[in-house]
Amino acid sequence: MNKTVSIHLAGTQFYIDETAYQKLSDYLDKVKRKFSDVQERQEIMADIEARIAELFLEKVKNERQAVQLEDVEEVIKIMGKPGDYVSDSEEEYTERENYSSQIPKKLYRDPDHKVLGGVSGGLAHYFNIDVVWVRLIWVLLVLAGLGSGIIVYIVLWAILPEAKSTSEKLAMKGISANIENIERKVKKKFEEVSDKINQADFKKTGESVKEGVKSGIEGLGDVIAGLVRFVVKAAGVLLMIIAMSVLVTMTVTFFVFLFVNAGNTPWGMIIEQTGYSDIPAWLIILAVFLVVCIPFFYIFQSGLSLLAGKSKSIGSVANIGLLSVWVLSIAALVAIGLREAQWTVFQEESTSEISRTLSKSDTLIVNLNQSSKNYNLRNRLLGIFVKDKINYSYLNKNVQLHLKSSVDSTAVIEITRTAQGPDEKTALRFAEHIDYPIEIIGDTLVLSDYFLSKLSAKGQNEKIRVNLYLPENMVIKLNPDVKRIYNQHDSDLHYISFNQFGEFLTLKAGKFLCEPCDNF
Amino acid sequence: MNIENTKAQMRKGVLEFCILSVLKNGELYASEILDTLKKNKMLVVEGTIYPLLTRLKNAELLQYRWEESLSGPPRKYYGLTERGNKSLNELSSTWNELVQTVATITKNNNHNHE
Repeated sequence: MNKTVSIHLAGTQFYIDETAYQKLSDYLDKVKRKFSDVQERQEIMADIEARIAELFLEKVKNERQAVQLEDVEEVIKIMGKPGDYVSDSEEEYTERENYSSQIPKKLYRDPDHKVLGGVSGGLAHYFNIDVVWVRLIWVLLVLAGLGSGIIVYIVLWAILPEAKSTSEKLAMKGISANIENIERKVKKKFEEVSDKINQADFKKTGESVKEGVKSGIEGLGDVIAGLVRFVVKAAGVLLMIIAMSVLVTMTVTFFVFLFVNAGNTPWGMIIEQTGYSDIPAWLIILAVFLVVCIPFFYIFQSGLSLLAGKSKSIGSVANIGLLSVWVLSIAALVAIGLREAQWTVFQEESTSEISRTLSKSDTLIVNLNQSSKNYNLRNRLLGIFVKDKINYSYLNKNVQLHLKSSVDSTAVIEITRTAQGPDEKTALRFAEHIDYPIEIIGDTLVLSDYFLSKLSAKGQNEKIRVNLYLPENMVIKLNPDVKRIYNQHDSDLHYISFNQFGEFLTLKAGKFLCEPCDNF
Repeated sequence: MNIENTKAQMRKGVLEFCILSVLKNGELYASEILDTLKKNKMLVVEGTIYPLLTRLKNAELLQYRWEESLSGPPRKYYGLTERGNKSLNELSSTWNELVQTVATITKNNNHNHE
């Protein structure tokens, strides 16, 4: 059911449907505004109204029939849009108006598109960009460690006025607050209000009370909805921050491991031998990188969706691709894990022996060369590396010295290098790569408390065992440093007590006698 | 540039001339002028003509008188003034020249292209 109003057009009375009337009067208003000269305008409008009256008379069969919305629309079609009335001289006028409507924008807070205070919305209007980018910049600022971004936001929140009135909202968007623009904005709201008033006419009091209560509940609902929206957006930001930090950390670590300092450096050594097995470390790092980063990428994406309020997918092909890569990386990690386990569980031991006959002299002085004196040690946490001219080697201190009785009258040194591996061949390869430096100068034997290897990092359980076979009546002096590697177990000779180090000892019947000490 | 816009501009330019021509043979009211112009496809929408009629009247090229109508509001019957007649003659000769000139130019151009 529609209300009908009565109007006069050029002296003729018409009944016209309410909606049709709204449309017609809106149309005539717009046309009127096209003419600047007041006198001219009156005359032109009168002519136009007369013509419209004629057209209506053709539509309306008898004087009780109301003009419908379709009739008005048809008439407007015949008469043309308001812009069609403009002649050349009028165009100048409109251009001038357009020019004046480009006023400098003002920075306001936008209450219509806000998450927190509407600062981002206002900035977006000011710089004429999408609000999502502004929000993203805030998040990135905070992520980049510029926590001051938060303070800047709060300051802006405090000092920027909120665009409350229509003219302020227009100024925020850089649109001049002239009558036409305000009307355009107000019209929508006005129509809503007039609709409500019209409906109210037909409503009984009880119903309107009910309506009032209902709108009160709706108002409460709006507050709750606003809170929920804020929580959702905050969760989105949080997800983005977490995902972003993980992604950045992982990426930086990944590239540092792969490209910075790699090769002939301690880092490079670690990269080549991270685990126990011979699987290159870059493969493990890459797999870990992918396994961790792909889910966090999706977390980041969902955070962005929450913040933007709409889902932004990267496309099903990309999704399937990423999922496959992820599954593949997990498979790779499992395979790597199995291989690592194989290396640690199945241990074969292999040894490589070297024997040398020492001088036939009856006196032997044993000194110890200590690693810390010869090498600049690095990286105690990750393993000890030493630099030898150009190459880095892994340094190990698993050295033991055993004293045994010689089967003949010569002193013999026997060096056993031992290493483990999943199979004998690999173990032997590790054993043979051990470099144990010794020196024999006259009667003096210089042992080391360390050995070097270019292959191993850890897990091969490498060790050096030095067996010193001594004949009867041999005079031996172990410098106190040698205590570090001296091992009394597994020996057929009597042990050397700590206070005997640094003294000349004579081996007699399996015992070391300190002749000078005994003399005292 | 929009070709539709150019067409509209061309029509607009000669609209004044057409209105004056239509009124050469006697007084007509707005709807009759519109009918003639619309029949000959000089006009697409009617709105354009009203400002023009008022301006021509203000420039004293047209005059009008009121006449009662049996079927609706009173009608404005427009007719040419003396000045309007003079202007129409001037515009006619300008138009004829223009048509010839345009014809020559477009013809020459066609020759050049052939």
